[in-house]
Amino acid sequence: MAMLLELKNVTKIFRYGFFGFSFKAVDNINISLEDKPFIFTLAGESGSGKTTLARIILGVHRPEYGSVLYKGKDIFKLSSSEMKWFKKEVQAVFQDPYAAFNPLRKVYGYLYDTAKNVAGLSRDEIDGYIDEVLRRVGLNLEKVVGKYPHEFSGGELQRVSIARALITKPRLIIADEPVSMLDASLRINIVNLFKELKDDLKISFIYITHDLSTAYYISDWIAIMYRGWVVEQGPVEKVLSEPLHPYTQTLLLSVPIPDIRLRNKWLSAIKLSATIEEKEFIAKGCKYAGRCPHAKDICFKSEPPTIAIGDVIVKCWLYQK
Amino acid sequence: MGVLLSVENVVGGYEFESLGKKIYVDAVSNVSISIDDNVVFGIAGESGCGKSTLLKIMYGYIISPLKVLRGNIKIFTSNDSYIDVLSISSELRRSRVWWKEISWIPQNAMNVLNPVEKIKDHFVEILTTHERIDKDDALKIATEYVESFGLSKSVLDAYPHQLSGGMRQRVVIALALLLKPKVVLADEPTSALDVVVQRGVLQILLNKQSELKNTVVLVSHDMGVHAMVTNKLAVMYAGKVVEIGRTEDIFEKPLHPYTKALIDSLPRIGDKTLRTGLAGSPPDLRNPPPGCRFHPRCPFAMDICRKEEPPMIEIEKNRFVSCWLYIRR
Ligand SMILES: Nc1ncnc2c1ncn2[C@@H]1O[C@H](COP(=O)(O)OP(=O)(O)OP(=O)(O)O)[C@@H](O)[C@H]1O
Ligand SMILES: Nc1ncnc2c1ncn2[C@@H]1O[C@H](COP(=O)(O)OP(=O)(O)OP(=O)(O)O)[C@@H](O)[C@H]1O
Ligand code: SF4
Ligand SMILES: [Mg+2]
Ligand SMILES: [Mg+2]
Repeated sequence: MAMLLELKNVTKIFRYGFFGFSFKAVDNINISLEDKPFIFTLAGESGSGKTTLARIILGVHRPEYGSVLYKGKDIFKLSSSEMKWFKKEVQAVFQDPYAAFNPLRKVYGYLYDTAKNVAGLSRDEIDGYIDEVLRRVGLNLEKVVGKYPHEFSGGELQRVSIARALITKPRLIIADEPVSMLDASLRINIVNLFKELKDDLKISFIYITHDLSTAYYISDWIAIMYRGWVVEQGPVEKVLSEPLHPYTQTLLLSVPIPDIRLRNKWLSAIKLSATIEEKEFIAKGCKYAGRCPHAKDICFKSEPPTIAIGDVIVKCWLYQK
Repeated sequence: MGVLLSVENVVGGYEFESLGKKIYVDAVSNVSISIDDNVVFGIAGESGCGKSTLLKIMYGYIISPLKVLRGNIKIFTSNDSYIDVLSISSELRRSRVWWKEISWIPQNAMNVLNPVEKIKDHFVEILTTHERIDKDDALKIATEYVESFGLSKSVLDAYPHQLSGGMRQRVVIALALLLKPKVVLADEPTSALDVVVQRGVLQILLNKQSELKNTVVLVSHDMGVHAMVTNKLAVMYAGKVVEIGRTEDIFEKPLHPYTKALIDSLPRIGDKTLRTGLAGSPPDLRNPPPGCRFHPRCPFAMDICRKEEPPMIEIEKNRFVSCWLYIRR
């Protein structure tokens, strides 16, 4: 099957702090996503490079090494007409909807501009089309016209930003922590909407989140990131039910569960790192070795291999035959 | 065990002008809560329901456009004497109350550390201004102290931006506990962190709480966090507290329809069956609905709910709810 998105050995280097010390925020990542509707979750540590990876896929950051192919085309080598097409195909939704809109500008203006400039609709088509899109997200033109961002609740404004993303009839939406500001009840409505958009409009999603419960609930495929690496990826049922990588295992044990009987297990002590963590970004062996309960000698010395076990891919010495 | 912190009929919100119109955001609308000593007291509720505003008022941090129109906040120092947080002078609050009796970890506190000061300067400053301790001794105290938060001494010489989110958050918590206050107000202290770091940070907060036997008021919109961490829980909706009880009772049997919806909408790993959230969205606090503020979204709303505000009643020992369904008329 043809691929929608392929990341090949993608590496992004940032310089950090005073000493100009540089580290790989995204370190040699390979991900291939087939061209069929999917929801792909990117989860993992804070600071592990999820947002950086999202920005690379959007073409905002240019990686130092590797390539990003969208429908077979290198997104950093697009002609200007291809660029126009790419901007229509791939849309983004961010964590804080209030930050995505200028507070002094009416929200409708954004929808109008996107419809006109990016989607290329003519003036008399626009309102009808915007209304149709807003209805998909449980709003309508009337509820939106004339209002400033602060006149919407967080959940509503997030739905407006999803509507804005939908205007260009995208094939892929990258949603970076789109629900982390919302309470459980609004959160489930938004992720249900993603599922619906995937089923009805055949839109694929890259869903970045810390919330593994909604990740399990909506996604097909998941990648777990740790310090710039993808340490495990595979079907969400497998990865979250039988995690292979020791970090994924700790991650799962740490999800706060709305069930008081599980409290003692959750409170069994874990240790956080005590020193400045950027050092782990440049560690020689496995970046998790310092904290891993299963670490062997080799883990401190050389980078673990990437091993396929069924349809799960794990980066860990434990699985080397 | 007795009452340590008492929130009494507090009405407060934001008053400002916009496009020539006077606007009042009714963010904390007649809230009363009494919080015992030696507990972890949770506050839950969705974004914008007034959790942070309530915490600011509890701390006595009232800065325009925030206004407190009515009510008292009392921190009991013994059975019959208390500090009246809102009516003492702001000098007194600053010099005698903050940090020593009550401390506050604001939302997004990671970013409140001064970016041009080293971590050690933050500790030294609090110790030298509030206790009669000179700079060298303060530094010694800080060195030993940070290790009890699982941080190495080298952290003291770092600038805030050199630390990861989890380390910065531990620094902020360490600062809040430094002078052993009786009450610690923690506003979403872990919501920007991944779950592993969140778990570690909350474990440290709990260990310190049981060591100091103080009271932690923990705001989180994550019901999972409340189930794992808090002893008692208040659920807020649109500026009102709608339910208060022991955390296990609330999870076992939520009484208020909003609490129930919150708990029912949580998906679990291993379960893909369809969940649904409440229809509609929370009200605009500039113009809240009459009667029960939840009525436009409540599946059980009756006539009276649209007209009259339900009082908060104690239906069992330690179980409070504000909903007409539980009032026989
Ligand atoms: N423009 C930048 N310049 C330098 N360093 C950066 C830049 N952007 C991000 N970083 C660093 O790169 C690392 C990865 O950051 P990124 O934001 O991608 O993480 P993340 O996985 O999205 O984290 P979170 O879960 O907290 O959102 C972090 O250490 C971050 O501090
Ligand atoms: N400085 C301000 N000026 C005007 N309105 C404000 C201000 N700060 C907060 N509000 C409004 O007051 C209400 C309560 O806000 P608050 O910050 O207490 O909510 P919260 O429950 O802490 O939400 P979150 O979970 O998003 O932190 C919201 O409607 C908010 O828009
Ligand atoms: S008072 Fe009425 S509207 Fe409010 S929660 Fe109870 S039943 Fe629903
Ligand atoms: Mg991010
Ligand atoms: Mg808040």
